[in-house]
Amino acid sequence: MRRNDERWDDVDAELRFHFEERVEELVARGLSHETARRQADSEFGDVHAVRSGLVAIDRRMRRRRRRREALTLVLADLRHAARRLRRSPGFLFATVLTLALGIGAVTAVFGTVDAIALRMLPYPSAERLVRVQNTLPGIDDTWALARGQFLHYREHARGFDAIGLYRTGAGTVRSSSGDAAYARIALVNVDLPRVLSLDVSEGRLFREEESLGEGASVVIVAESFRRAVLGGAHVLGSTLELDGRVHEIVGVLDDDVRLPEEVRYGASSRIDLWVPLALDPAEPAQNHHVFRGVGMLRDGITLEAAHADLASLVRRFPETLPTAYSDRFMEETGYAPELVRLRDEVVGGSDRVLWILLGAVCVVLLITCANVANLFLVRADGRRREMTVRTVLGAGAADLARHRLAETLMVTSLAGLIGIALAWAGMRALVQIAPPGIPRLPEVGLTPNSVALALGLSLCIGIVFGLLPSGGRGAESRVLAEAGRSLTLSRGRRNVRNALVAAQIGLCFTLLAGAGVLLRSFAHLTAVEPGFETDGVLTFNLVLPSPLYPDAAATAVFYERLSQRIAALPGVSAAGGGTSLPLGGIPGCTGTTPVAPANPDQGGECLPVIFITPGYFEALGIAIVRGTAPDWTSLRAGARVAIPSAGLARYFWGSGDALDQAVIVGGPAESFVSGLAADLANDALDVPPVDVLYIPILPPAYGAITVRQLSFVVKTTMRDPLALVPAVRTALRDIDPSVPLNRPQAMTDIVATSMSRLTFTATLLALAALMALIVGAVGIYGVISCTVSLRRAEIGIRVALGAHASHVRSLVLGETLRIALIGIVAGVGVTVVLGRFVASLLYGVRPVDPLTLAVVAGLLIVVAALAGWIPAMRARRVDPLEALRSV
Amino acid sequence: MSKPELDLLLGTLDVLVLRALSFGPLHGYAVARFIREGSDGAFRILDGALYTALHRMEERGWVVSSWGQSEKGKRAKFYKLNAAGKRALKAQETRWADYVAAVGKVMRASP
Repeated sequence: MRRNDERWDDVDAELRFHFEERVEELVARGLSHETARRQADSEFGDVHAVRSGLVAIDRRMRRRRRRREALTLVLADLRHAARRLRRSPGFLFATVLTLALGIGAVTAVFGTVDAIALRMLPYPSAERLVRVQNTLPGIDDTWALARGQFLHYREHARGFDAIGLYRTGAGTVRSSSGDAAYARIALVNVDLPRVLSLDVSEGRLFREEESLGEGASVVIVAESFRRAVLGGAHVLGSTLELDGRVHEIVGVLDDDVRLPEEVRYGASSRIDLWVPLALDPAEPAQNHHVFRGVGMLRDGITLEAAHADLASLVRRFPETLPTAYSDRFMEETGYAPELVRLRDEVVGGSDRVLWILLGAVCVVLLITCANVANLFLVRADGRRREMTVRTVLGAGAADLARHRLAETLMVTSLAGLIGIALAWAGMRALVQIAPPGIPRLPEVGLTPNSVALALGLSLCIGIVFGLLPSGGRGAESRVLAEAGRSLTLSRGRRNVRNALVAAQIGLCFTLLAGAGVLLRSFAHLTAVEPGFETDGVLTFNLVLPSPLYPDAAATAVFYERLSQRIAALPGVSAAGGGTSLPLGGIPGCTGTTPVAPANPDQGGECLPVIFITPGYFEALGIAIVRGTAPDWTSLRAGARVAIPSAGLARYFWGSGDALDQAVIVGGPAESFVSGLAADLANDALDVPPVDVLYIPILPPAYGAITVRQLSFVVKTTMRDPLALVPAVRTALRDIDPSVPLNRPQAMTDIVATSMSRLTFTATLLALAALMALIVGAVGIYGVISCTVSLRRAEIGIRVALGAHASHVRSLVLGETLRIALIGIVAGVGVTVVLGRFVASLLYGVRPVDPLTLAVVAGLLIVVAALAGWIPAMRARRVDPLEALRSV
Repeated sequence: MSKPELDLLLGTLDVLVLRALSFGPLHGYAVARFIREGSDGAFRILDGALYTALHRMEERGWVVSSWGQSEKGKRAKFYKLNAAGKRALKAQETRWADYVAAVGKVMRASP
């Protein structure tokens, strides 16, 4: 403020001088004072306007000058800092590299979190999008929407602008060139593109009338599919054959048009074709929940309000949709609508893993900071004499602080830049090694947010380090008084440094313990008996075109021929198929009722049902623990049999004999238990076995279901079952060239995928822990060796007074171990507190695992001892004469 | 003030001020006096515009200002041409001469 006033005084003084001179001159020419004044005024013009103009110009000038001066000062400071740092390349290298590693790790993981968990979905109104589904707490399940339910919602629900509905599946496409190809299909209703703001890049979207009745034979193709299968030619208006029916291509989708599932799982789940979803309102409602719904909340309506509205509709379903929902069903299952924000669903549970990782790398950053802080302290100690001399020579405290800040900022920004480069490389590696299950992974990369974070971190760290006390003003005079003579380190500074090292060890301990329990649970998992064979098992998928295979009998003929052809191949011992594979998860469930359950109150259950062909159990090595599984002969004979898993049989019939018991699966017909299959992990290895019911594809089950999509399994004696693929392809072509072989995979790969998320997490956490360990070890070594060299004189005196070499060594080692122990004790405390965050990732081991803690503690003590060993040996060899002379 | 006053052509003020300063450092009032007397009062220049021009030139880096003593011993702000200012004067002088010559040529020409 004062400066501004001064400025104005300047202008005023200049103008005042002008007027005084002018008036004086005019008066000298004989004018009266009054007239002279008036003339001077009129010669000048508008004084006020001129004055404020001048003030503005001057203010601008001054501001610019000040900025220039500051810049010059900063540049000079930076030049000095650069010169000083160049003189100690070892220090520069150590600090920059350590910090760059820490910042790089945080940036990489944050970039991943940013892409996966923080960034919005690629839909313009993402915050208004919700998944519309049902929750059934009574049977602990979540169901998609049913046709009747959706049509009722569309009529009566008030909370939504629209609800998009779709269903994904697979089909066989034959293009005009005659090649058969497997295609992922989405049946979409007219509202879905509007809700998700998706549009075609060429042609048009579906029309309302195209989803009436059977649905028009029109199709929209994805750009990638057009390139890969249709030859990339101009396709609008041409046709393709989808499952035997000719469809007209009316539109093309850009590759960035994606349904939520595609966003979540990336390229491996690309939808190739869109087909209109036809829903017949005339048909009675069914309890058949297969449609995925995405609603766009009406503007201003909260999720809670929309949910309350749906809940009131659903409560009346027994009256409004009596064909599908009985009072008893509602009561037993607790059937109710559920709304989940689409973002939460797409990100799923993986943000938890990432947050834990982010926490871990933040700890690594803390360790590196403690380490670098120590290095700066050591450096400040080494330069105390220089600082003191400069103070005495007139350098102000502010000057010294500025110099120090320039130095630390230079180090940290260099580290930040290198860290960003490391993060970029790290993220590329991360995407390469990551398992397929992690959502939105393809979007991971260096985001503006993560770059900003890296730069912000390096600035903050630089400022904090720059403001770190380097002895204080009072200390300088004392140092000067000592004239640079100091036999050993002052106690205060040693304590600060030791505390920093102890903190590093403590944090290191926490990380190692976290990685340790994850690795242990990984080991537990690999030891789990999955209940089926994985070695030498080949799997692939088939989709039969419906016109050629109109009913179950026709499909059975195909499956039998294929099984026999494949089984006859050299090196193959069994072949069969099923609608789902172990660890593949089981889509949906079917109402199943035991006719004579052990507990008479036992009603029907919605159970996972897997349709199988003979050979399925043999190929997968799933044991039939009682009775028999059907073969092709018995299948053709028409016996209606069911094979429950042992757990399911126990559940229905208790300890009684399950064989020949009757169950009603879906429809009215009864099936009889012919055998029991061993329990096995169906969803993932780390969840308990699921109760399943296996039903042969013949005779056709309820609603004359025809199984046209099947996963085939082939048991081979080969080490690499994929070597069998050409022979299988030939066999398939001989039987029916219009059926493509899709996704051949070794069963071992499927198992690896199931565990991949844990493997991934454990690997990354182990990497973080290893980094922490190395940085921590370097920290201990650095501090102890620096302590030793600063205490040379003291040690020299001790030796001169008769101390043994071994005594000197244990003096140094003892101090090292003392610091390590303090760190470890603190680390145990932190681990106990933070343990619950990893609890959900663990299998067969508790987050605070005594064995892991003991091993980690032992490891850290060994590392600390090793890091202290070298300086201790050096201390032992101190020559008292030489040490004292150099004081 | 018997002669008719001429309106100053745009941009001419700068060249006049630079010219005034080319003989050595002057305070604002001296510059005003130089122009008034040098033109025999032919121009109607508002003194305020003069000061604005001086401050602008300082901002542009043609002149530097400093406080000093006037001939009568009063505190006054002096302006001094620097190298850039001298270059500017030379450039403007040339331009001015070209302009005068061009106007003169047209005035003498006959169709």
